[in-house]
Amino acid sequence: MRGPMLAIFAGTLIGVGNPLIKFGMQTAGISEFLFFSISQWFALIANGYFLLGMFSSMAGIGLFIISLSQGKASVLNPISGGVSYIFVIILSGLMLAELITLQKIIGMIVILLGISLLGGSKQWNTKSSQQ
Amino acid sequence: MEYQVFTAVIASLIALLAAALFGIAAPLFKQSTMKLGEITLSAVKEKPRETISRIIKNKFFLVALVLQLVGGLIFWTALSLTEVTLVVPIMSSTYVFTALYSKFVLNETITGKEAIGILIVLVGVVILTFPVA
Repeated sequence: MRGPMLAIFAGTLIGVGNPLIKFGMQTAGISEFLFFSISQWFALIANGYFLLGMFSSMAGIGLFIISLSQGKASVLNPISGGVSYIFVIILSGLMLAELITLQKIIGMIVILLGISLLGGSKQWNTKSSQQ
Repeated sequence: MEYQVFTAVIASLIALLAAALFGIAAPLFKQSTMKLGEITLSAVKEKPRETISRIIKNKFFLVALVLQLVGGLIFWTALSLTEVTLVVPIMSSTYVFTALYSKFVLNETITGKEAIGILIVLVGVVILTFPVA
């Protein structure tokens, strides 16, 4: 897997991670997250969904950096970012019962259109000048 | 009312700053890999520790990480000042900042097709996150 495909996979992992983290917070009974609350952190660390979400996001960021080494940041960043938005919407709809409105569907189609233009670019791996 | 508009404008500018920091972080992450050349998944599998430590122990990686963290703090500040529905669409401008930095600092060429693709993704994110009246 290289370049745009790797960025798509990275964006998927990052996008899937966010709703999982939120779902983990919900199932751990945390409605308002306070980052300085140690008891909340303990509840989160013991929560499988939260851990899976964190792992997914971090693996995604790692893969994104690998994909960046292979191609243009200007192309790969919107690809991975766009894909992650789409997965956030879909998974939030499935897991968090957030409504997928017509507006969101149109937004996702437009993003997919942009990604297909960027992913189809033959010059994604044009070597940028090394410093 | 005037005060609310003023706060919204300030929050928007702060969100734009956060978008700029996030946008510049991505090409900086790329710069942190440049000494290693093109990294493949199999190379990471073969020498995971060596590859990861060479990326992490790089000044560009550190700067990118700091920009991400500061960007996050600034983003939260903007969120606390005004509504999420105003701040989040502004964050889509991240890709413009990535493109500008990549073009002028990394000398990446951006073709017309790619520029259109970047703008279409940006418009899509705005549609996705913009509040419906």
